[in-house]
Amino acid sequence: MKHTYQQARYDEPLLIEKGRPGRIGASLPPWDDNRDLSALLPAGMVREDLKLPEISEPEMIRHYVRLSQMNYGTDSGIYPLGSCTMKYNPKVNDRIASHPTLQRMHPLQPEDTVQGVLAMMYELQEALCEIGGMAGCTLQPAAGAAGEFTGLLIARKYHETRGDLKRDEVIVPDSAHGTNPASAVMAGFKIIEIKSAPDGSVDLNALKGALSERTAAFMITNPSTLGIFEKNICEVQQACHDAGALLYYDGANLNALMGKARPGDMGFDIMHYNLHKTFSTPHGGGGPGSGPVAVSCDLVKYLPVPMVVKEGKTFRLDYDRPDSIGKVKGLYGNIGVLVRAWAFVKVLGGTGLKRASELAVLNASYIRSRIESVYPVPFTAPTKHEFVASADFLKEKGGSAKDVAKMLAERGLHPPTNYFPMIVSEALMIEPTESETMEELDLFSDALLDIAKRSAEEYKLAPRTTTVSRVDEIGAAKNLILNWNQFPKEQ
Amino acid sequence: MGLRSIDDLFQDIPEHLRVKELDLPPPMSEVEVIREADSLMNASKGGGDMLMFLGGGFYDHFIPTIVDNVVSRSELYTSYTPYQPEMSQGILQALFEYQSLMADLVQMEAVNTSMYDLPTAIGEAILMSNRINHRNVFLIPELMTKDKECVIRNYILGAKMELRKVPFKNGAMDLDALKGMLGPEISGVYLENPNMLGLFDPGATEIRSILDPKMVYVVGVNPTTLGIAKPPGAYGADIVVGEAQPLGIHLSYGGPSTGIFATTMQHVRKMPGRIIGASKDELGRRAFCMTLSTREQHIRRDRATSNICTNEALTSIMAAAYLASLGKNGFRSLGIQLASRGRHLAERMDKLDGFTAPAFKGHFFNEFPVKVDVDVCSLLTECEKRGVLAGINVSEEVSSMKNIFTVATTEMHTSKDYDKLIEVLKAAREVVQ
Repeated sequence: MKHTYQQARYDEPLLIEKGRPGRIGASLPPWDDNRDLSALLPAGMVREDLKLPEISEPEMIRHYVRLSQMNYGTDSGIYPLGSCTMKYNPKVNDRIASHPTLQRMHPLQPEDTVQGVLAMMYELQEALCEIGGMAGCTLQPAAGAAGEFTGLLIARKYHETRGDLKRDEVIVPDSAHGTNPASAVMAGFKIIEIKSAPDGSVDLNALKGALSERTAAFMITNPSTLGIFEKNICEVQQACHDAGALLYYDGANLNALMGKARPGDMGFDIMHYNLHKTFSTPHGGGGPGSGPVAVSCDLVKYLPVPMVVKEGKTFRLDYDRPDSIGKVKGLYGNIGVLVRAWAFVKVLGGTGLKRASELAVLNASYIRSRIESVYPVPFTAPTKHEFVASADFLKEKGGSAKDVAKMLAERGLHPPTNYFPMIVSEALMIEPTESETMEELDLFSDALLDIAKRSAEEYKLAPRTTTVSRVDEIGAAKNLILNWNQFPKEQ
Repeated sequence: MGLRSIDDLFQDIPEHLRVKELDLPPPMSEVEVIREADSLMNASKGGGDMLMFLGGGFYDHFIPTIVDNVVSRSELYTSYTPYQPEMSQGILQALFEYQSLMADLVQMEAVNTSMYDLPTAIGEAILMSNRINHRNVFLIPELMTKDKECVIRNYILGAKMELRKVPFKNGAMDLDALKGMLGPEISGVYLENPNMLGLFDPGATEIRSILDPKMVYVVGVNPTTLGIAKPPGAYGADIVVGEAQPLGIHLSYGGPSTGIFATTMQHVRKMPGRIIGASKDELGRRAFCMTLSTREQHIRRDRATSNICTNEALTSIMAAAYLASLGKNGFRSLGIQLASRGRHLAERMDKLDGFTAPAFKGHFFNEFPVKVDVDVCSLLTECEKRGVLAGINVSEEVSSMKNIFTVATTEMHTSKDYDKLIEVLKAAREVVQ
């Protein structure tokens, strides 16, 4: 196979190394009534030295252009990170979020001056409820984990309000995202982890054994992190509700189900959405995201304040909600992200969202069909939007899932998630999304198949075509250098 | 693949759970969605459409054009969290630079790539304080908005911590009261500088010496003040938090922005959030990667320092580009100009009948409290009718304050804007009287 990929490599200095005294990249408007510093600040509060780079505008833009060329995004190529849903981010969404009125809209403006944004928020809430089969929705949480935390505070309040004070446990499967147990602990719960069944589904007996009068909620993704639709979902629902527990839906994998099935119809009481996954908003190298939470009828009263409500033709922020859990973030949510998701839903409509999920499942199933004979998929159930294959067979010749990842990077293809979920040895978790063409899926599958044939010596050399070769991550944690003042002095 | 139709792929979903159609409007073309969004936005107003003096941590500052260009580089903004450092050096270096710029600005050593915003950063700081000294009571200022306090209370619920409020005196934290509240159960204290009213707290530099060495001193800042004001690291802060929106991040009706979070190397392993470190590649070249991940949820699960995963990386890069763009001289000049403008405006308002500006004696930056001798709600409504958002009514936040509002100015205002504000305030007061 021909290797034609070469990522940019600059010895690009740090901003602070680039600067020279006297240079500046911005200008201030005139102001002629400047006062003396000593009059402006209390004694002892004046700053003596300020260390900031001094850089001209052209130097600045070249710096960031070079950095961007040393980076890989969904705009560079396939990005099949399992559980992350790295789909294409439509440009029209950015255009709408960049409207000058929105950019300069202060969060404490009177409601009558922000009707347009409130209308968008309201419409998005309604659309999310319809997609999830839920009764009420908040857009406040800033990310998926914040959504989980919000949902669990709601579960807590629900049980407390009913005088059911013993419920201090949350059950999660061993394949759950790490945020699930972490969020539950932040909301004050103990974690009960249950093992998955041999076929990757929820082990009903294990679940029933774990459920008790102390269970507040059971958190699952569906499809699971293995990309498998939970075949026992009705029994799971029944068992949880019989035990008085709530059922929480982690929306990280919703991209498999839009317009096909709804968590609300499956009996879930609380769910979150990841707008930066399913609803096409950019991931930004780590964020910002948005994690709206929707709930069933009985739980609507616990949603955070304020809620966007519609009265006649007017939208308003409703703070008068006595049973609410309060707030989980300042103000109303990551509006710039919400507006992009609003545009995504508008452009796709009901039929388009359904088509997106169908293609996401088709694309994942296609890659699976191409590589399964070489990379075993330990579970036979049909694949939804993602699947987990194993690179365990490479161990024999000294290879690993990590080697596969680095070999893919070498060819300019972003690797899948590896070593997660932990229940599959040498896991490769592959989620191509609906955005990829047949050609891109073939390119990726061919690369995986070819990599399986390569030798361990080749593995150890990869990646050579990326900006840097393998990074010493252990060294980074051992000798911490967390800012530019901490580099060892050059001899 | 041996399939007859797309529905074959969904046979594993029980029939009664399958959805026929979503009850959503039909798809729109790109033109139509732009038209609809524009019409909704045009029915709204922002800082460019009316005169605003709103602050409260969010300010309508000028954002150099280059900042948007930087974060419009789609190799950066369409990338995921950099789990594959070899092909993500760009975003890693940009975030490492953010950490460094912020470390210098607040004068701390370890900065994470972001929290969601200031309220959640305060919540995380209190939890971290509990991890540091295992004490359960945390002190917060009485001068704090109800919304912020509400977020914090939810954050500490799981840790079963208790909050106590330190009263204020003359617009600042009452240090005598603080001394009386200290004891072995106190985990730490949070001070906002400048505080909710926009006033610098003269006690900020003394608090570290009042606390016992085990207590954690958390300081919240408006980062723009740090061009001229002493950084919290210089007066003993153990954790610094802040709202980065004023650093080149669009208001966008309150989000997204970046919650600043910084601490010392001593406590870095107790810190929440993502951290980028410098290292080397196999050929010995400088390279960056995420580090100290064993604190995080994807490794440590229920014993993680926080549940945070997706954060606000891109807005942190906006803040970095903004700071680098203004640079040492620009940022310092901006600080002088903003504090001078605040002073200028307060002096003019103080001369008006019925207005006291600032309402409490003290130094301030670009925002200050104003007391008025009429009902403040009616006054602000009358101003709004005249096309001016004159400030934020803070009287409802603390019961002992009556008819006080805060006024914020930025470099976006012209002298004529100040004339207009003065004229409108005068007219509005006459009507309310």
